[in-house]
Amino acid sequence: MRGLRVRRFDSTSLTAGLALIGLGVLLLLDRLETIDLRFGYLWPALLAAVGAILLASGLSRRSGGGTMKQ
Amino acid sequence: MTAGDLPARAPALARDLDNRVIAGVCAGLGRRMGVDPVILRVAFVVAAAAGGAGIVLYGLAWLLLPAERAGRAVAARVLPRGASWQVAAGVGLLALALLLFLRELGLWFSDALVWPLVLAVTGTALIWHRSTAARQRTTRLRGLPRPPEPITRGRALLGAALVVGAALLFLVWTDALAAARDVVLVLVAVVVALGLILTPLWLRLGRSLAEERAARIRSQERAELAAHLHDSVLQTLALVQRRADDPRTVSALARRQERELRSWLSGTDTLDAAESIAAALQAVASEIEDAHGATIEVVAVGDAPFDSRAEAVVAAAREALVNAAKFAGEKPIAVYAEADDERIHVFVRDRGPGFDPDGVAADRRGVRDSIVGRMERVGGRAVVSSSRGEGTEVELVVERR
Amino acid sequence: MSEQDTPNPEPEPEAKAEEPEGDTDRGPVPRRLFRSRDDRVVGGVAGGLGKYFDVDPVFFRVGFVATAFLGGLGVFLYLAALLFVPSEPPAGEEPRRRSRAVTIAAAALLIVVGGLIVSDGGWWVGGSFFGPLGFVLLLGAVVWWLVWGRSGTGAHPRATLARIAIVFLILIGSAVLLAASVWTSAAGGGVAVAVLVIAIGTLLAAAAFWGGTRWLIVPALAIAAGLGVVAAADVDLDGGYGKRVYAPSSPGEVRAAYDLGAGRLEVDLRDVDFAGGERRIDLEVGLGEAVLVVPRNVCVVSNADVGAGYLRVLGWDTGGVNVAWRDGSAQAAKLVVDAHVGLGALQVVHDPRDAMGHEDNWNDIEDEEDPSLGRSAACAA
Repeated sequence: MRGLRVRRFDSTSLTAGLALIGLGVLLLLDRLETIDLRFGYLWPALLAAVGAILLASGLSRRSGGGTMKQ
Repeated sequence: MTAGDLPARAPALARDLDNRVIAGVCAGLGRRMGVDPVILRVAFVVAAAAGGAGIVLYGLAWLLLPAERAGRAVAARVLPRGASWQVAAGVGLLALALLLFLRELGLWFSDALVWPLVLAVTGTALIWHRSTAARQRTTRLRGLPRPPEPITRGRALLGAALVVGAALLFLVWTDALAAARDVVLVLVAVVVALGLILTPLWLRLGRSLAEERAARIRSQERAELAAHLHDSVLQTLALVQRRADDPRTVSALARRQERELRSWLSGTDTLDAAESIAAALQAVASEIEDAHGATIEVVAVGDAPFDSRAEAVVAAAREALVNAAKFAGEKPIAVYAEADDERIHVFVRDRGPGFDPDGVAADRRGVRDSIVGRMERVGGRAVVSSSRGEGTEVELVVERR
Repeated sequence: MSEQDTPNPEPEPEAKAEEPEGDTDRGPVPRRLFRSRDDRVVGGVAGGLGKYFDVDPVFFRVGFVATAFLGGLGVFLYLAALLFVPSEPPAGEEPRRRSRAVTIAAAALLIVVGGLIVSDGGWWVGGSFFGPLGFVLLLGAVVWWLVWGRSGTGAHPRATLARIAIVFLILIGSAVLLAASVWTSAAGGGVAVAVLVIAIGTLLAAAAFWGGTRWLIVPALAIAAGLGVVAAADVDLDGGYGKRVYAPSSPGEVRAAYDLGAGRLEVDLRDVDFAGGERRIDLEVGLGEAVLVVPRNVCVVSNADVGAGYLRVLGWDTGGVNVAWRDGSAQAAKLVVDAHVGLGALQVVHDPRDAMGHEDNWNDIEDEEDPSLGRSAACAA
């Protein structure tokens, strides 16, 4: 078989978990009539998510990207 | 099944060009998944017949999976890489998302405002980010800042073009230009005329400014050089004159100054001893030279960051050098160091009287243990070879992987 | 079966159980699949598959037969396998190599033939199965990558088969969870579902420190998506469930509002004489379908919107999210309709047969040439 099961920190699970928590809170607020979610928010949310990911990845590479072509 | 399982080293997810039918997508995926590619081919064909989905998926895979040896997917090669582009794109998308979001909330900005704003923000991010990155790079170098590389200049131009384009777009879309067209024409004519007249003056002015700047830089350099020489070499020469009757001191002073001047000229004096093996060895050698009056030449090839293994090697080398300095006599001691990602290899060689390794009594092994023991503790090894009249050589090796 | 026209320095994989060595960082070259010689009912495909995955071939036979009823998918799969998978060579012999050109030609032929059958409607008997097939495959690939992105398969193809089965289960489970989430949320349990999503999110985040449970991500997203759609479409399930049909015969019998929580609502106003002044009618269905049949001689002005789904107003139709039809002209209106469907379909038609989904739906082409799409002809006066 494979051997020792090493428990490594899984960042994907963490990000997904946090995202789900955020999403759940938004949905809860909508159901509690505090905010009103509309489909019109979907596009901006997706664009913002992609933008945030790009920004984070770009900033984290600022200090010397190594073999990346600039 | 959780992602925490220690992976049987997963084969790379790539297209397999050796076993390909079309583009190696099925072959590569089959290899990764551990099944015969023909199964995947059947799946793709069926999916392709059903509304063409299979063709689309195959195309996506072709774009996103790298070919085996090249290492970068077609999509990755086409899209611009580099931190600045990502930051600019990210900022642009965030701005767009924010504006669309506000639009949903009822604060409607006309199209004429939204798109120019997004372009302007992206362009600004491109310009600013470039300049901070470039500024960081230049402060690391010694001496003059290097002129900006052509690539960053291009990016700055693109950023500026985006901002200007955004402004123009805004003006066009808000029809502000229509009314001003006549005025603009007049302005353009005047500018062109003035330009034709003033251009040679301008060029001359520019050139003289550049020359002045160059001259200023040269004089700055000269002043720096003079100051350094004054502080170091002149002082040393004065000291030498005063202590001329003590050859030992004179020699030590001269040696120290020589070392210092050499490293200043080669630019290595900014290297921190805590960060580089070469600098650490150099520092150790200087220390022992001063303490024991010996002469040590350090030659370092390659370099590597300073981890615990490197520390052990330098400490062991120090012990070897102390030994050599104490017993080796007048001839210079040579230290040769080779360091890269795989291993660190250091030789300490002296041309002293040498000794017979087997003749050293067991209880006097302390010195050798401090060298050999140190190396073995970090998983390396030390070999001390010597013979009478031939000097001593200490070889220190440690693998870093 | 690797199609190579240049000799490959790598050793040819045998049709045995040994794992041949290949390029080590690319993983071993996988075992070849063959059509069985001994276990041959039709073409030995099921037998070969059974031997390859070390599973009883009867599973594959059942699978082929079952999917054959899904618009002939099973037949097509079997045919493709017959063409692409080589026959098992007699013991000791090298498998015959097929040239790349032949394989590509066979694939193209199959795609064209299959595509023709599909477009002819032959496969749409299985109907909605093939439409989103690409989407399902893509989603399956995403799930696979999420769960097993970093770990290798190990030696045996059966492990891959197990993984495919697991991905399939996850997808089906997610679909079920999606439907359940939509239903529960629409019925008023949205708060509970939201809390559930938060709970799963917390669980995932916590589990990240102990290795992570990635397989939970897609099902959790399905639950959140179901609730999200209901929340965004403002589905309101007040008003009961089921199928309601109203066919008033006089203005007095016409209600001011027709409400249905979930189900199908049909209101047929063709027998009503709207001679009097302006009448307003409200129609609301939370989840499901609403069909309003209006007489041709009455000027009908509609304001209709659907949170997500299909909208059809007198020959004009559209689909998607947040679709709406707003009629600005209110002159000479005899009947003003305000209709809203949260999730589903809303249709305002002159004839029940015009409605999509009707068994005798025959009117598509004719309606598209109607110049006054969306507007009642009687309003032109």
